[in-house]
Amino acid sequence: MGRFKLRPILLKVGEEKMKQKKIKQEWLWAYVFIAPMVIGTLIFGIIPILYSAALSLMRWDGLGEKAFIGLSNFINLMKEDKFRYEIRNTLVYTVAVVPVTLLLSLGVANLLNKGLKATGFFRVIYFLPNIVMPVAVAMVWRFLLNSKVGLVNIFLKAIHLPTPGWISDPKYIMAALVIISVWSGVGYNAVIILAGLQGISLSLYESARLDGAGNIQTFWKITVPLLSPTLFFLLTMSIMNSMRVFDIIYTFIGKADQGGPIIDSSRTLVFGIYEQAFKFLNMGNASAEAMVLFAMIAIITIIQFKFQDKWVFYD
Amino acid sequence: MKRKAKELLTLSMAAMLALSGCGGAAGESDTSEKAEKTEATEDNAAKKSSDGKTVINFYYWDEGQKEGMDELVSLFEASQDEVVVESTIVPWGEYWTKLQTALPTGTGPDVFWMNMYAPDYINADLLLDLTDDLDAAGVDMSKYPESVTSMYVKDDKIYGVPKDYDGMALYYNKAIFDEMNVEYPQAGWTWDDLLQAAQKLTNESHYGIVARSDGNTGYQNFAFQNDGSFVDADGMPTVNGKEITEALQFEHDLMYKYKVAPTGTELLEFAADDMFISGQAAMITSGSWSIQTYVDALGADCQIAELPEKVKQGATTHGLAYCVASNSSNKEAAVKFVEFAATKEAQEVTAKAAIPAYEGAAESWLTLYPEQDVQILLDSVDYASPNPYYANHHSEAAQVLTDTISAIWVDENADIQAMLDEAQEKMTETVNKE
Repeated sequence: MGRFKLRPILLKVGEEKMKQKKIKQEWLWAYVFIAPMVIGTLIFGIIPILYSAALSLMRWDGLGEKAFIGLSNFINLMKEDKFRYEIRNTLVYTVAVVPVTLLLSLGVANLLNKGLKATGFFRVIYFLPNIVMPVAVAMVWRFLLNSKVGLVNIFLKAIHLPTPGWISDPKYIMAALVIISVWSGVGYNAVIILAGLQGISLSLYESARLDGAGNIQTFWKITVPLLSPTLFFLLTMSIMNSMRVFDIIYTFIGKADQGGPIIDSSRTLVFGIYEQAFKFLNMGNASAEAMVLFAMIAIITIIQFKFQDKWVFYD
Repeated sequence: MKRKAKELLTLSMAAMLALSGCGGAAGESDTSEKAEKTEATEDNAAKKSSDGKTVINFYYWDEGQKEGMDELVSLFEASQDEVVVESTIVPWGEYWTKLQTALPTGTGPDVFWMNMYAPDYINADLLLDLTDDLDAAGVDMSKYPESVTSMYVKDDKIYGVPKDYDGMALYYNKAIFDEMNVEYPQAGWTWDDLLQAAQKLTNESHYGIVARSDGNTGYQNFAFQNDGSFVDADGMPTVNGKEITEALQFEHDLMYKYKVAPTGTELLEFAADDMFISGQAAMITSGSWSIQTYVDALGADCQIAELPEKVKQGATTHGLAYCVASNSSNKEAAVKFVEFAATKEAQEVTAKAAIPAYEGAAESWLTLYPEQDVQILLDSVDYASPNPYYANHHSEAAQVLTDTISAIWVDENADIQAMLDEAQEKMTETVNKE
């Protein structure tokens, strides 16, 4: 009996094998196609992160031998005043820059969406700061904010307001950095919000108006919910970018022969990482600090994702 | 004051344009460097050019000295027919990162410029001991200023051949002295003479002097004049000595007691050099590298005098050297090039942008500024001391002092001795840590 049944079974096995082979082949091609991306992420993303995590447990001057020292780097960090300033400044900067930038961008995007003449022109104007090199931005603002000859203080003086030393007074330096960052960030955010606004169907507004809804009501009940995925994206990205701010601060205050109060009031975590790694050649300390920053950003981002279903509305 | 301020703004704008120009140039050399890098990794072993000559790689950072370096290379290549030099400008911003990563892995240059960071590289065994080769080639190290050669010597072994050095002087704006009818600064001036002149020169449109907050051009010179020393023979910090406190107090008094110099807060808003070249300050202490900027802006009004004295003459100097990588695959050729660069004629052709280290090779540099007495800058090296170098964690320890000085400069009521005591303690801790 078995003999008679053997053939169909064999056939089946053969078919199965062919099928599996085909599936295998398809998988193979899938791997081939994602390989460049995976290899790229590995080499430029995952491996450096793991390497940095390993370095955070070592003492290494970047030139000589590495030595494993456990958590000493982290313990040393906790003892440093500078590290506390860095955490404080990074958080203050983020808390100030992100909401102000997003609110202003929302306002600007709404104005641009009103169908003014020359919308395209204004869109370009608002976007311009975003494509200027941060170094140039910092240099120009150093002149604008100069306490004696800067335009900002000349204007403030004309309207009888106090004229602080924006770039020389430790109390105001952070305010100056926030102003610059908001100015350079609004354009990019506004353009993305504008794209979101233009994706909202006009018929929704029409029917709301027919039902008697006012401007404020349509804004909160239609615009914001439909815009919430865009806002969520921008919020997450802005927080991450603000936590990692470096270039503007370095070019604005990071002169080689400078230190003391003015730097302490403006140094951020990445500024500290740079200083430890490339000025002091303490790769271990720098990596430990990078790990702290990584953890902070990770926690904040996880919290954001946890709360997103409370307010983010996907179609 | 307002008119000056406007001038200052224009100046700064010009500086900004110049800077953005530099940025572009740096970008360009960046790509060339990358090209170089791939090439270097391809054949890591001894490189031969197509005609069988040995190729060595030479790194330096100053675009401004390209002309001199190119001339040096072509002179060297003409002097023999076995070695070819491929030079690369790695911009300052990435020079040290590049050396740090490339030298230990053997993908770095064979010959390169080195500065006061040399001890870090000597300790990590990355620099080749040149003592015997230089001796065999008959290079006379006494022909170079001792304050420069000593930067590259450890345990009586020589790790670098001096290239150039900085001179230090008191620059003054003759027009302001004439306007205020004050006698020009002279050799043998004391701190008191300086203070009196500064007082006479100060009015509402200009200060007498700039009290600079950085070590090289500023407080170190005053400390050396008062016989102070920042570091002992073992490389341990000694920054809270009475001599240093007095020197800093003198500069602090110029700013806050006599009000003849811009305050530290003002210096955060306006660069010291800009204040001098815009006529907002009559005198400034600076190095030989500043002369071109100053003379370009002020012409013959910019004059040079010796730094003032306290208990002795004193100045800071710093010199660059050519070094060879200890793991170079072309040591022999590299040493040959460095020995050539050490000769008087080689140093003469590189003299345009910096004072050459070889005794008497500075003739062509001297002729560049006929209206100024630049010999003063050259001679300052005779009484100058090198920048302090702390035995361990140098940059981190130095940053503690920089932080302290910056804090003193912006604080009218600074208790200088107490702040230096604190710095001393923290620096000792930094140098002693593993």
